[in-house]
Amino acid sequence: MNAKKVTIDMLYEQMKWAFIFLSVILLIQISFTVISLLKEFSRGDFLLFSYNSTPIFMLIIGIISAYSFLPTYVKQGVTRKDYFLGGTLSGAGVAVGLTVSSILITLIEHEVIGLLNAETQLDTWTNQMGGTWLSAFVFYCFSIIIFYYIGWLIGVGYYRYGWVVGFGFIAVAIVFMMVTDFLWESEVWKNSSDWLPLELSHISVMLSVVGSLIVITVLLILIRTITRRIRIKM
Amino acid sequence: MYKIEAKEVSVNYKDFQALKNVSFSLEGNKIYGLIGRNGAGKTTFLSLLAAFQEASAGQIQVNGEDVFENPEMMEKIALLYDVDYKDETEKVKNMLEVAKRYRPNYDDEYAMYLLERFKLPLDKPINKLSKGMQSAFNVVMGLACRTPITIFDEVYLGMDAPTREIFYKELLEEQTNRPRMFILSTHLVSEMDHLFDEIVIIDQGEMLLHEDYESLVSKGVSITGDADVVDQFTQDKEILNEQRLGQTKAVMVYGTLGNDELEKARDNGLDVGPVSLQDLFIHLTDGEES
Repeated sequence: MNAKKVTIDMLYEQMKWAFIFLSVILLIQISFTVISLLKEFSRGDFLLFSYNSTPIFMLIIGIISAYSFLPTYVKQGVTRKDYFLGGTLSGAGVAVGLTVSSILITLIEHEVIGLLNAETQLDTWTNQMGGTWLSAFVFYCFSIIIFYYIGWLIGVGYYRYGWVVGFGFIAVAIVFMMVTDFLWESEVWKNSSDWLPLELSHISVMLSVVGSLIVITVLLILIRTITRRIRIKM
Repeated sequence: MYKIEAKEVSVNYKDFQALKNVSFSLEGNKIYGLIGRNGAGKTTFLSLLAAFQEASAGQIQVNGEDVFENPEMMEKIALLYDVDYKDETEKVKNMLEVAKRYRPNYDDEYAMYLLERFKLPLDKPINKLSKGMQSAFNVVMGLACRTPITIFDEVYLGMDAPTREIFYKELLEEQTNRPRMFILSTHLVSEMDHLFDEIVIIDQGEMLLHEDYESLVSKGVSITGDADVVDQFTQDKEILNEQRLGQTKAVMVYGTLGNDELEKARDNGLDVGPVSLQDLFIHLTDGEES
């Protein structure tokens, strides 16, 4: 079954990129930690810090998925359906991989800081996200998975319709990002809550998960509809 | 053995019809030559066979099954063409790895042999290869995949003459050892005609003819001899092409000669020979080859 092979191959390739990405972010975080110890300012832990850039990373590899993997696989006789399944599963796999790695790095970070008895105040992601590692995992993972699918949607939209219509896909993508942010109460929601006549800031995690699953389903249906009969450019 | 059947296939782009009601069938382990002028619809036609796109109307089947999105059929068909590799930073060996994983008949040893034959480096990114080497890489990929249906769409572009010779030689060698169906589209008719078992000519989106090579080239004759005698002999015939060197003239004529005509030609001291596919092609598609 080619879908399985595509999943494994895409996952392997994308995890390589994720590894490089994480290494860079980790180096920056370590530098910040050293500086903060010397200059005594507060900063976020690794999970909090990495969340600044991980969604963008996921968005970009989602876009790349359309442009590099789709033509490569179809040219090797893989069906669009198998590519779609492979892309869907590998995207989720990368999200889980990145989340687990980030949580592990963060746990180690807290350990090390504790062992050093360092006088540093860490803002933690877990505190902001309900206080447990599980809620942190769910939040982080769902947010970045959605970003991957949003990137993928932009990618396949551009690939199929060219850049003029492609801009429309960016508009659609922004709407999806706002919905995602809204679901998980981050910046956009915090900003828009000033003018939205609703008081929804206490949506439970359960509701966020269900909402995210709906967003993911809609995204995947759109991606599949666009790629079902897509013409491979020569 | 594989059989490709197209039934009333049309492809419409926004404001023009690239293929119009094309029907044909290709069968068996043969080398098919697909020829047609620029924009005749060759590439569109080949991209349908390889499921790169779907026909706007009609059906393309292999052994009675639709090709588009059919995993069993798609893995058996490979289309190699003049790819723009300027952004392809993957190394030669990694590109072959992908083929190895997804093409059930891929032969690693054979690929390595071909790489050596074309003097291609394993460790170099594709976009760092010369144009000719990139084309040779496509040939290696197509041959080594050993897909039962292998399509080369003007894959020789950028290759110099000696490299093209290697390509032709390896192709024939492979066809002798492990026969399969090859479809080659080309502009270099005179250079490649010796490869073809059967010829398909497409013109302006329509199938013009599909015949085996021998019977196609026997549709015309070349008559060579003294210019005046040749002119007199061919005056009521359909002339494809003529060349003159001093008092000697060679004229390609469309149509066959009867026994008495053959005798008459011999009596007049004229040489009668076969016509070239190139001349027939130019005549049939009505104009100078571009």
